[in-house]
Amino acid sequence: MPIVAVVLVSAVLVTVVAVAVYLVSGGVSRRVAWQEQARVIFWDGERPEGQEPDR
Amino acid sequence: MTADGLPASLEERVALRIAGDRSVRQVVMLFFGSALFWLLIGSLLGLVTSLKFEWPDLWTGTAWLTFGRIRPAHLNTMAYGWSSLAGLGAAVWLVARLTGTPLLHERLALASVVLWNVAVGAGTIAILAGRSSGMEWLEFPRWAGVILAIAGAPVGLSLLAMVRRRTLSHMYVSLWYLVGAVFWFPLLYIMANAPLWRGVDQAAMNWWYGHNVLGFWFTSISLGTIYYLIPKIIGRPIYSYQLSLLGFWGLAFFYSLVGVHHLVGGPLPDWLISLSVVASVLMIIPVVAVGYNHHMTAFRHLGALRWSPTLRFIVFGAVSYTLVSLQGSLEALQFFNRIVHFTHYTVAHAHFGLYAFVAMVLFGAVYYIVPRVAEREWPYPGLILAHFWLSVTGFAVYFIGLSIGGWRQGVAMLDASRPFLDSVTVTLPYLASRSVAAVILVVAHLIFIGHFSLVAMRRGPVRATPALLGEIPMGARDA
Repeated sequence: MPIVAVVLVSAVLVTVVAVAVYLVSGGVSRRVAWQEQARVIFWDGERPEGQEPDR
Repeated sequence: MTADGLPASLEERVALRIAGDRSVRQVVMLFFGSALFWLLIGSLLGLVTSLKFEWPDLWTGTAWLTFGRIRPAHLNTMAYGWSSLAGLGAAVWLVARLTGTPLLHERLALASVVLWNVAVGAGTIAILAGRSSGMEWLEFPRWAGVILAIAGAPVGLSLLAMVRRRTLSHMYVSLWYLVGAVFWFPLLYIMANAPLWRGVDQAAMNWWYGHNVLGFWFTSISLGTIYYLIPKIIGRPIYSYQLSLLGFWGLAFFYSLVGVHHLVGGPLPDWLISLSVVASVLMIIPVVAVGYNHHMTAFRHLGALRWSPTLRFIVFGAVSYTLVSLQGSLEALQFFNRIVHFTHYTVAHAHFGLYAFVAMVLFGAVYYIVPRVAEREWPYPGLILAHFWLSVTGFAVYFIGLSIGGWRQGVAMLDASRPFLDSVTVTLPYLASRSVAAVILVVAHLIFIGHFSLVAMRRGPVRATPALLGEIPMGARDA
């Protein structure tokens, strides 16, 4: 019985927290954030592995 | 100049990147070189530990070679020697790349290399001399722990200075994990070593630390590395910013509560045990978020596994992270824990995390970073391939054998109609498989260390092109 209670409480918490965090993080525009990340990773002009002409 | 302060022309940005890689060369190579030294020591200690299950009387006449000393020496050299030093080396390079800033305060970083190695060396010798504290993951005597805690500070300050003066304003997800690790590790280590805990409190603190050091130190550095290297190798940004937020904050919120599940059945309040079990289940959220994010990023680009040495190790590590974390949540549940607790099953699980996940990611990071900072390609792609397959095979033999053996051990221990000795004899063939796996892993590591030494000493054939594991099909170029 305690195991069932723990699993049920966990499931409820999982759902509540997941929804809350998703809603909070949704304030950041996905498109803008995606472009930001792309710029931060690829600013240095390095090509995908094995295709770098200047390494 | 761009709004970020970066040069507008591609040529100048490439030059800036190369200058950044050169700025970290000495520090990164020293971190990696000393990490590989501890990998060798730790692997040999692990092999001897395993052999002692086969031949319990092996070297029992020599005090420092007895099981009670060799086994914690293996754990500490692999955790604080190999994994931590390799992780710090990767972190220095990653922060320089992600901030667009060359290494700042190089002497501080070099001081960390020296102090950290002194701490691990002194702590390991103390363990072998019988001066272990007796607490798992915290076996270094307190004076060695103090050196270790101090050792992390200089490189931490160097990394934080680079983040503070970063050229690129946006902080990529890898930086969140790396900055988190810089703060979390000293906090954990100092709190756990503080002379405040006695009795049951000490046990609870021991496992609060023992599990958190995995989540907030090794996992943070490894996930930060994965988040950078997968997009870099395949040339595609991470799939979802929201999922990366969910993964990071989920880890930060839930992971700190999970450690006490190691004490299920122990003399602790029920609420504390239940809380740790609930938190362990809650960890499914960030784990699935991270796993899904990685998978969707690499999806349709997994062809690069055919030629990219780094991606093989990184993807193996990333998939292992998801699987070992889900397994960990399962193991925390009491019906499962009752069987596997105090068995070799838990040992297999620990190696799933620290080897198949953390070590494989760090291997991948070393293969990616070293040619860039040393400006010399890996001379023999065949050795990388051999290292990968020996590591995978060694781990598989280890994990499968000990998981089955540990399960059978647990079932035998719970059966009151069987003598306790049954729970020992039933494991013997599986313990033999572990020794076979240990030999395979030692060979894999010797190949890796030898190959690294060639690059570090600038020996072996000079390659004009990157060492790849296969030809890149024409259609995959410029993907």
